[in-house]
Amino acid sequence: MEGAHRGGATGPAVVRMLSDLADRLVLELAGLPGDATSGGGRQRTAGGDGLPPAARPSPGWALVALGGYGRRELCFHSDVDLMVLHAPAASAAAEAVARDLFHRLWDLRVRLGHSVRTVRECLALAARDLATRTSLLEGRLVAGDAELFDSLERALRRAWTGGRGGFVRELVAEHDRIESRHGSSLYALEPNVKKSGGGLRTIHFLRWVALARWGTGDPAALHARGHLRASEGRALREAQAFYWRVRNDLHLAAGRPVDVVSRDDQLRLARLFGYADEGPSLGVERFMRQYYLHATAVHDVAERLLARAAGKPRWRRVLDRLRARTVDGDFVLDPDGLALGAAGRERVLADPARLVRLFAVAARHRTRIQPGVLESARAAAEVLDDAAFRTPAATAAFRELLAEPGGIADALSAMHRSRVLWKLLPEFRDVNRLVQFTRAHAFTVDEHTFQVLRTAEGLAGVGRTAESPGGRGAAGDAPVQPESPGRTRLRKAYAEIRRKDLLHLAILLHDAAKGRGGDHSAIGAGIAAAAARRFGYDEHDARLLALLVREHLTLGHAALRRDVADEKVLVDVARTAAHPEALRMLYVLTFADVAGMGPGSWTEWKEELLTALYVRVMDWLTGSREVADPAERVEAVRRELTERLGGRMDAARLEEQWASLRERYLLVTPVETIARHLEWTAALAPGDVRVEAENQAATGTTLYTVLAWDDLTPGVFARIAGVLAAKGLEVLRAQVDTRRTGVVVDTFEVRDSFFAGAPPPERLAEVSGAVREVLLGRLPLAELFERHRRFRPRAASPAGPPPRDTQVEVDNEASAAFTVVDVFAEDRQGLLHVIAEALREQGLSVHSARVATRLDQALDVFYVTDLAGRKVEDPERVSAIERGVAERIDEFVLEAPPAVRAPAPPPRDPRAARGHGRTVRGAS
Amino acid sequence: MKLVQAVIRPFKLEEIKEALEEVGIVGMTVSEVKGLGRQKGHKEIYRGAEYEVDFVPMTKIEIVVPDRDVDRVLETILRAGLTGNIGDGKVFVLDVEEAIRIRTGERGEHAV
Repeated sequence: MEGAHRGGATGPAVVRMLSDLADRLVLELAGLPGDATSGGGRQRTAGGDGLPPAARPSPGWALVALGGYGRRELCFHSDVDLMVLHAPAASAAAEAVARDLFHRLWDLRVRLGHSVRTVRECLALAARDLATRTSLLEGRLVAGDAELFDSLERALRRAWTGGRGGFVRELVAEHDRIESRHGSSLYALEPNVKKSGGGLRTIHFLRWVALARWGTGDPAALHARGHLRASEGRALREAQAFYWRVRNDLHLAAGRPVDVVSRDDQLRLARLFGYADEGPSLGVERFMRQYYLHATAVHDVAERLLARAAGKPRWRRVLDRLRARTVDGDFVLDPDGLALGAAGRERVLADPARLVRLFAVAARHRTRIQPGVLESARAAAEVLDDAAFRTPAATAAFRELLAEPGGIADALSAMHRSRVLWKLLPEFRDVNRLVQFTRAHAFTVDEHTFQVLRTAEGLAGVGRTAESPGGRGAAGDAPVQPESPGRTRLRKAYAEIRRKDLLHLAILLHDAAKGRGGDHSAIGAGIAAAAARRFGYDEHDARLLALLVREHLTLGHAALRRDVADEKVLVDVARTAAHPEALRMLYVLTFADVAGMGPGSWTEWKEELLTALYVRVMDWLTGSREVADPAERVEAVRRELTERLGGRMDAARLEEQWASLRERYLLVTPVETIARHLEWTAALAPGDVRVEAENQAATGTTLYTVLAWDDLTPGVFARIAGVLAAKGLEVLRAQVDTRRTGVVVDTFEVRDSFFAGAPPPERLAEVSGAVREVLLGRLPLAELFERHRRFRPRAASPAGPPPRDTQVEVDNEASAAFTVVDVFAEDRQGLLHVIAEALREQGLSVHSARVATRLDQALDVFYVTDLAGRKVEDPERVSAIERGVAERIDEFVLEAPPAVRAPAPPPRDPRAARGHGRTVRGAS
Repeated sequence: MKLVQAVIRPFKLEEIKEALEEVGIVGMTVSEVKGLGRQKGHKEIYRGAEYEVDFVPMTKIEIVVPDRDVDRVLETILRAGLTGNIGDGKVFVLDVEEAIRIRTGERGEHAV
């Protein structure tokens, strides 16, 4: 028997052989004729048709096979359920037979389920217990009193089959209960061949329900009566044969009735089924994919048939019809989900755009689509041409689906199962039930994808309902598990993402290139860019989408495997994301991707590491901090300022000054620095300029603070940068802040390469004086440059490393009032002046800036408006700015040699040397 | 036998694991832990705004080795786990009374 299995005998053949063998064994042990001559079970029998169904009629009792044994579906270590059925009068004879037979079977170590019952007892038990009922309904006479058995069967059938009544509902409810408990296990990577969704148990349920509803569980008969399609019957047959073979092998390998297909089993089974490794594709992955395709097929048939069998009582149908409402013209929404209206049906099934809209409407109403409708959609999609889905109307419907969180994952999953999704994204055909044979993943690629989407969408949920506005700290609120700070930040990031449709599409595509070999992130980026164009997204969106897919592992890798105190890591991530919006998306995507791998894969520990990275990189990108509660922070600053300045500045004056400060400035500037700035600005005479210079011992740098009136001269920022460049200073950081009162407060942290130690006071005075003279218009900048010609950098040395790409990114989403320009470039001395001039050339006015240099990389953020004070949103103007500024930078960078650094004095504070940047500004 | 318990920086795990493999140590238990030592949980002033850190995420590795291998393991962890900054972690060495491989019932050094 084992030889037959290993030699390639099909599942149905083997389970039949095993059942027949059990029959012969029972007959022989019971001392009944029939197969007494065959001895053991080595010979092959042709399906057991030669067996006598009931041996010699024995009055008053019968041997009845129940459950799987009754169905002739025994696997190697299945339970053999045997019942001795007897007439009330024959109880003594039955007891004797049972005792004798059961003992002999136990002695042979058969796994025996045994019972001795009368017909009446059977019926009573069947009424009480669902499992016994289904088992009895599939009883089969092995030997004995045929008439007695027939009377049981008739009584059972009369009581329990052919109706829509309670039994069907009970079965459906039980099935739903099991499904919801094992819900996701349909695609669990170590499935249970019997109990997991779409497995053998589901097939049994189908049969029981059909038996209860229509009086037969036989697929052929169901097909003949129009309850089952031929393709569905075939799918069930094929799945069952597959499962049996798997199960037989599991039993043989373990020597026990094991039904869980572990990873080791999967490797062995793949070989048994003849799946060999081919290039990047592992045999085991293809084997398991086949497994899940069967599970999916069974699941889909079950869903449809169960719904159909359960039907609805007339009063429910009437009520539902009353409750049903038409949505979007073509569709009907009732308590069972979304269906097609009678009028719109043909229209929807023939028109790709309307077909896609079906799913968009389901997503918007957060409802499921009724199984029958899904089946029709699938049939419709099969005959429609792919190209017919490339219309603006169809893609618009798809984009609409992606935009509103809540029902996206479920709608896309339904779209995938009905294969309508494949029409829009043919790539999804390839990841259908694709298995990733790694320990990290608990789901197939497609199922993982929908889990990730579900997780991301979940961030939109009302997180902490107990925290009502203004009720902070109020005791006695509903007891809600306090949310982790990381989760709060994730929610905030998700809420701030403006283009959620792009994030959702990126999630949908992030693993679409799995299984192709090579780097799935890189290949996926290509798929994403192509898809974006097909769906009518503009070039900017397409680039962002490709970036998200290409870099979907970057943040996780950096957070968990890199030292986030190392600035190179931060710089690389900042450069990769480039936009705050993109960083937010990557943050959410990273979280959802890991959380969607399986239960327990996301931990608060990982959340902290990822969040720490996110916070630091966001700081680089916006020049401001992501503060949990900005209002609270601003209030704290205000209190401290009042305390510090209370004695020196009168309240009204302080209030006036306070009102002129921007929140961003307040959030990034240490309080003592704000206080000094306020004192200086309060003392600034109209039309005057004040420059303060101070050496920073800890970092070996000098801090120049410039106070001036905004209307004094155009391009204050560019001019200061120019003076510093002309003087040969290297700008490490700059902070520009234009007050609402019209005062500009600019701070520049510079390194002065002409002095080995701290520059002497004369030098500070000289630079300060030059800045003042230029801003007051007494000294033309050009003249200053001329005078300091010798400081100009000479031609580029060919030896240096090739400069990294210059990136200029215009972002209109980070700020409500300003356009934000992010610049990433190879640093050169004087670079800031070049950028500032380029921005001025583009007709932009810099209101605030954060300039930073890290590891020869300039990461600069400029908050700008046009000269009229408006954001720059015209796409053409935006790309002109990006191109124009980048060109100026490239011209300059290619000409100038890498910034030559005088060896900096050994920093006295080791933490400052690591560049945490926490002391630098304003500290003395 | 000794139990070597090392609390390390998360990003150092890969490096330490590889270094241990090079000296022939392959088996270990790894867990995600949080803790605070001399560095305390700190309120970091990061660019002017506070960033509160209560417990710092760390990674704990546990290795049981025969006595003669302890020094090699310690030396390897100390070398590969070092950044030189506060928060590099700690290593503890404990006596182990017995080790049993569940599958085979083997005991002692054979089981580790």
